[in-house]
Amino acid sequence: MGRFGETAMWVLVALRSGPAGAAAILDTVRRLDGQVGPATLFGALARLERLTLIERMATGGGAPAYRLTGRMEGSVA
Amino acid sequence: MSRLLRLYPRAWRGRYGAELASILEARPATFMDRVDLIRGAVDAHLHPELVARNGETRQARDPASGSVLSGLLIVLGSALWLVGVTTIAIQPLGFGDRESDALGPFVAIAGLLYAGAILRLVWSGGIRGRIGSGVIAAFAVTVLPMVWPISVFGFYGLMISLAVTALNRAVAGRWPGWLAATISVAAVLAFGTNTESGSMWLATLPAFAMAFLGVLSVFGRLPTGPERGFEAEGATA
Repeated sequence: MGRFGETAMWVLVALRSGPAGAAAILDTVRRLDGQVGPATLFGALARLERLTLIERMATGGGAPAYRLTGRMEGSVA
Repeated sequence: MSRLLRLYPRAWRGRYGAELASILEARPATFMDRVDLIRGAVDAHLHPELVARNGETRQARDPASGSVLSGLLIVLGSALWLVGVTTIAIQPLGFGDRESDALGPFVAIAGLLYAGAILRLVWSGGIRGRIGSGVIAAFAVTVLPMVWPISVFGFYGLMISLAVTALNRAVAGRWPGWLAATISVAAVLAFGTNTESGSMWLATLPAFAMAFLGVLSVFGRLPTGPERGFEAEGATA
């Protein structure tokens, strides 16, 4: 994960309450962790997707949302 | 801001570009955001596997698997190399020999083929491969137009280019170390020969090595080293 690890952790925390779009995730992560760059967020999202800890879901024409996969449901305290 | 997004690989933009652009429209980017975007672009180039579908990445980044064109170029270039070495061995060339001019067309063709093979390998090697190998390939192409020096430096420059490319692949985990080492030793031996020393046969070694690689490449059997990158990183996470 490298420098994306901490942001990835906050992304998982942000998605604990349910699916959210990238913009909403960025707002939540910034609220929790201070200033996080948009590219860092997408770097973390890409890595979490690659590890199948989160997944992308279509939202009917709007921006896609992200949600925790079955591997992570109930794992994030 | 869209200029910064153009720094990202096409595949990355295809997957995340619209979302990122939407965020940047809604939230004016600070200076640090711009720095972050540049760092993100570098990361995206270093880790194309992040936006590749499963199984797609290895094919795209492997310098030889499925690269028939590259393999054919290497085989053809190696054959021309052997012809050139034989020609020089039969009639040794010295500095300033006018006879060397007769080899110009042959050298140009062989050099272009090698340059094509190098560039093909570089192009399919990801950014890590592009930086190191690109510089060497540029050197090889620059040396190419010279007539008499190329009989001394040009061939060896091209062969060293390939050796360095092979080493680069080994460093990137694409080729096993023993293969890169073999090619490198052969190139060094070739470099140590002189067109008038009677040991020109040594210069055939890299040609055989590269021909072997080319054949393996054509048939898609080029062995690959352990994949380094996010998968390995993720496995230990």
